[in-house]
Amino acid sequence: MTAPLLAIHGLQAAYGKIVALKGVDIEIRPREIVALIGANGAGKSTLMMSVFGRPRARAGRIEFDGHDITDLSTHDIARMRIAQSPEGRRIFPRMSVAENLQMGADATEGSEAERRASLDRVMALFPRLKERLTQRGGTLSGGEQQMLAIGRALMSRPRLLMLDEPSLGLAPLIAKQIFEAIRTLNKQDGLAVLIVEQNANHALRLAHRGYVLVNGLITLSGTGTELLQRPEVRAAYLEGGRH
Amino acid sequence: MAYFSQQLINGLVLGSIYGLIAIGYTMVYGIVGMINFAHGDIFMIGGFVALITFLILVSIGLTFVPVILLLVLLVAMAMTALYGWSVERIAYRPLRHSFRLAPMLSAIGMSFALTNFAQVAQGARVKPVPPIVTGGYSLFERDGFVVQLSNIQIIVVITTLVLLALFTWLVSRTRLGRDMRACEQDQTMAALLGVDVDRTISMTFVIGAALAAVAGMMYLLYYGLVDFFMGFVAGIKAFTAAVLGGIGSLPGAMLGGLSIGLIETMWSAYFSVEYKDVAAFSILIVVLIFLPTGLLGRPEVEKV
Repeated sequence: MTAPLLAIHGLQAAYGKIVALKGVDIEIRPREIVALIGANGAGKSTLMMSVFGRPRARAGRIEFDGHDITDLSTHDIARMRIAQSPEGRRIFPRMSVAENLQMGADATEGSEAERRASLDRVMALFPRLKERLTQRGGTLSGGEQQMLAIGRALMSRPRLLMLDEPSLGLAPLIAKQIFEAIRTLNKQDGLAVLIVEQNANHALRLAHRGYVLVNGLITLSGTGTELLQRPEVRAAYLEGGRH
Repeated sequence: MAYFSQQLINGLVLGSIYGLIAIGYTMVYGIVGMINFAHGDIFMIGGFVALITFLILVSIGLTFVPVILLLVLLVAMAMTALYGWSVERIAYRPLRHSFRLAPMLSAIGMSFALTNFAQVAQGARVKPVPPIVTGGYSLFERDGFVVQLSNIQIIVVITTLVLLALFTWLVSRTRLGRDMRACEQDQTMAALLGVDVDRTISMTFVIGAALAAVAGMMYLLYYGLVDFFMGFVAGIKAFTAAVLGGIGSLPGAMLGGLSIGLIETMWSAYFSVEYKDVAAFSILIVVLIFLPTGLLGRPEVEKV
């Protein structure tokens, strides 16, 4: 078994007095797609953000590629080439699409050739963005903003890509394209992906492994297919499970 | 017409100085959402640093005016930028995650501290300097009134234009400018993209202070004097300019500065000098009633 790329041990995190994570252990190995599923408010987005120290871990340890990153500042963590397409997309509304993408590229040191290659890849993935390059981020439709958020994350040539609900607000066809794109990036470049999805069916089919998060605790884990067959997963998240 | 042209020139020069200060207010408001009440005093510090540098350069025997001006400009910008950086570090950064009014109260305190520091260190008297830049041009004459354009007025306007061009390039084209805009729009996301938010905020204060220093130096050259209290009124005027132009908007700050400068000059010329401040602030009130976000401001959109 290879050493994990991201290892989270006993992570606890809170917003003020509201405890969102109560001791979470998860691992993402290199070249692996991991799905995190759970109901609204289970702590999925908090888990993703706390990898970046927002909020800071109250207890526990976060390691990336063997380095303890628990107490690093958010920007230093980002510069280790962990990228996130966060909840709510968080596009810079008063920057052009091109500048939004450049912000992603700025996150990591890279040559001009590497930047070009990343841009070409993102343009190939989301041709729609190509037509919108000079347009302001805030004027894009929800789906386009989602593409931009994912594209921006990819521009930093991440080693670990974290996607918070990438299919939210997208037409089913485009959602499918995005899942397809994630699979391709994973197969071709060996990109490790942590994906949070309401659409558990899609996510678990895509993922090698998955975790189920309930009220700030991991209650189940296993391979994607295993989880898909568990009756409790089916009942809660698949069969009419979109609360 | 001749009289009006003369007032137009005077107003634009005064407005340039206000505009340079107003940029500092609007930049800081955009990025950290606070009014830096000490910014007027940073302008005053800039004036004093310019004066001291000037006296030192003259006392070591430098006589070539363009070189003196350039050196004074650079030293004033650098020293005042250091003040701006320190003020943010000491008085605002520790309070950034406190309640919203805390940094503003701290800014008012910092304003008093700087005013009194200058008074104690430099004395309470007005410090005059002999005219450094003299001469000018007579543009035209009508009805016995000669329209004058002095060399110092030309220097003020050209320096302002050059700085504005540089500054616009910095904000719109460079990595630092992009980082500043990113922090202004979403600090958390900027950090997630590897932007050092603290450093970017520091740089915002540094740039704002450097521009205020230039304004301070121009004030010194134009009016031939500085005093420890000059930051108060100029600061409030420039703040008014920033609000008039639309707080948070960089072109707005310059437009607001020019408007305040022109209103003040025209009012003094045609009505009464005593009421020039009343005129400027009254127009501000009228504009804010009809355009609550200022001339070029954008409406505050509630984040979801």
